[in-house]
Amino acid sequence: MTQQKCPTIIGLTFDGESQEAIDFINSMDKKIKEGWFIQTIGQLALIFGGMAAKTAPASNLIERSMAAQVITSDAGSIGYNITQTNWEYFFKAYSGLAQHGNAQVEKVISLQALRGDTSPKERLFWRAMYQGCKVQ
Amino acid sequence: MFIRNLLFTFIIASSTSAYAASNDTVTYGYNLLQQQFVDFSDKHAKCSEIAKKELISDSSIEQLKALPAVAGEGLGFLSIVAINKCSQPELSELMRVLLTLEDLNRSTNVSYISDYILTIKKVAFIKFDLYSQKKFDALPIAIRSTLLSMDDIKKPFNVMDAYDRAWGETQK
Repeated sequence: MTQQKCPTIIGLTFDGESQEAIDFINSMDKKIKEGWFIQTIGQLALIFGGMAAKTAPASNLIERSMAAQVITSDAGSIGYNITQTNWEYFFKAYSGLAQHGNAQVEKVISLQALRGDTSPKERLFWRAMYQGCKVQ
Repeated sequence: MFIRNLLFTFIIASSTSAYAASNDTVTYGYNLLQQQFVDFSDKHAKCSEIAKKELISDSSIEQLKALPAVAGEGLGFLSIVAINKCSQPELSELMRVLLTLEDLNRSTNVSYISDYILTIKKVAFIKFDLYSQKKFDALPIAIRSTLLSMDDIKKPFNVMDAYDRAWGETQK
């Protein structure tokens, strides 16, 4: 699907809730990047603290039900567990943050597009945002 | 510069990890929270994909047409409810692990864990859900009853398509 160009809307003003939605959307990118940084620090602290989870994520139902046992670290081994650290969950959590952040942005845009108390211009704006228009 | 800052931050974080190293449960909780968040975001994404493809029936659209366009706000709230219901039990598990780890970390006070919990809260739980619920509750009871009686919207559905088919012409 080709992206449509964003419509030109002259004299567009936002009411309080629209502005809050815009502020939220603008801040999501920063929240995700901060989250990535925090996760990285946490992972490094776990590795060099010798407490990172060692095993691969559980792949079937029985293993998942024993996840509590799978995830705990081996307290007897102290050292840098870089190769044994559970990197798969780390990277999945990394991409999960961006994925869910984007889903929330989409939700906020659709809620704004459904509002009954916005001006026609605002409605046009939020519709275009929902359709993912391209800013020229 | 970035590498140097990252190195300094990691050195500081690893000095707190000496305390974390003595608390196996906190580490376990942190790993579990990551796992739960991954599970929830994957499930939520699947439910959202289902919603995009699910168009409500023509008979339900006729029911919606009989309501004023402001009912579209109620439809928005119910679409969130449907996706949240579809995202169970992963959503409840995420909340449970997050809140219990937060409680544990009140005594252990590991900074990267508090920060990670806050990150998940900021991304996963947003005020706009509350705004939407308030609008739904403000609708006249007759409109709410009609919406709640529709089976089509109890599971994930394409809310914008429903809105356009019901009220699209009147909103142009």
